Amino acid sequence: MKILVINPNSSEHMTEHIRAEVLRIKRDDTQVTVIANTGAPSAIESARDVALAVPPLLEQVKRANEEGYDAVILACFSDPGLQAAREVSDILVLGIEETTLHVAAMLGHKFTILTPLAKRIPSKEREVRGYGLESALASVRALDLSVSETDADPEATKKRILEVARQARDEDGAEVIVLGCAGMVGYAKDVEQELGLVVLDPTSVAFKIAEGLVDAGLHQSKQVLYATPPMPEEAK
Amino acid sequence: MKILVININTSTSITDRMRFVIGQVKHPQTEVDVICPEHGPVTIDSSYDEAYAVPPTLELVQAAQDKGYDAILLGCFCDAGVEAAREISSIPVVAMEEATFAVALTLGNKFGILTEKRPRIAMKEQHVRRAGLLSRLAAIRALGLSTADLDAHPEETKKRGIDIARKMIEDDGAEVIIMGCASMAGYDKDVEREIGVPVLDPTAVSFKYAEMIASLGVSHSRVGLYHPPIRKEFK
Repeated sequence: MKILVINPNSSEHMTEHIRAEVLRIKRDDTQVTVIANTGAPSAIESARDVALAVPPLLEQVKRANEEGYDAVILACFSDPGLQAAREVSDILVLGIEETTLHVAAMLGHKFTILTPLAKRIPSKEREVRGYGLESALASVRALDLSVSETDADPEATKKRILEVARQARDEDGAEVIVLGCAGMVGYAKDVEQELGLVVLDPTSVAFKIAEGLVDAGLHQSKQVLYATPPMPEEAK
Repeated sequence: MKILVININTSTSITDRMRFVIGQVKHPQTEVDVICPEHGPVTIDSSYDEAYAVPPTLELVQAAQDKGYDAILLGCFCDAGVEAAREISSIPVVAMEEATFAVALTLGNKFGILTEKRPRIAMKEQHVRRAGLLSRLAAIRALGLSTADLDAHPEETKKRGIDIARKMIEDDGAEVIIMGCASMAGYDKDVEREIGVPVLDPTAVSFKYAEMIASLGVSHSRVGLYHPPIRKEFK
């Protein structure tokens, strides 16, 4: 089995962080390639960043279809370009946000999403609503650290994650915590031990689900929402 | 008052018809420019098309900032790029789909949407869900015509629209019908005359909404969803 993980931003450092985690959890017989999205913003923290990251991302997804991959994972917790990627792909495409939120809804009554900056709280709420999971959402809480700060200072990030996850448990009724940014990858176990909550690392969750779906021979339905658009497009 | 309308696809024919429809509904004193990007898909029929239409649209929004406009209307009934446009705009950005939903809510309990082709039904339903309005949605039904066909064949489009709108009223409980694509701009009155419920043409409705927002002097909130983006490197 061959899986391509695309980091939708262009940060090599974050790509390396994701690569280390994926290599640690993958099955022995799974081949995995982790790449950055060249030409995209160095972090995805706004709708503007998403808009500019998607076109180069779609080129990578199209290429993966020609290079013998069995699945593509978009490793950014805002699922940039997920619908368009599924339209242009015959192989399975998973977004780490959608995949993890569905798993979170299954593992407890309510989940809390931790996001880097308060600016992203409204868009996370919209995304949860878009996936039809509003009633399972306890809260979205911010760490007040930018993506590059979470990536650069692991100790401060871990400390802040513990603090905010405790508030989510005690004040919002969260039973499951979703680490809502690929920059928080690798901190799940510590929080779990400390607080007794189920903590989901979206990249790991989506990766293991991808392995399972590929084993089962499953991919997105190409009937309606993800039907392949006519190509070549009438582009000017 | 000066309003910029950006048709986010590159079809000059659709842009011309939007300009014509807006010319008929605008306040006599409102100045309007209707433009479209130079590059990008000719019509928007998929998420894939949306992805490529947004970056050139954002450039037009950016370029309009210091040109004295009181509001910008993004003219596509899919609201592609609206969140990003609001992030980078200090003048109000009105979204065609969202503004039309807001008006439909005030005219009846449930609204029905006419869309182009079957694949767009699922997409539209996702938009309604994201807006938190599923409980006000009667149905979304497709005309079975592409965006280009809607533009090129007004009579066939209206005929099918009337038949399908009747079904949404009788079978699905629709009280308001939305002509859910800017390519149907100007078809609303002929359909309304036949079916007897309010028919909303998103181009006209969202343009009047933009005039209202501009004359009230309010704009989108910049503290949450539409907070300006952080400056950063693009590699």
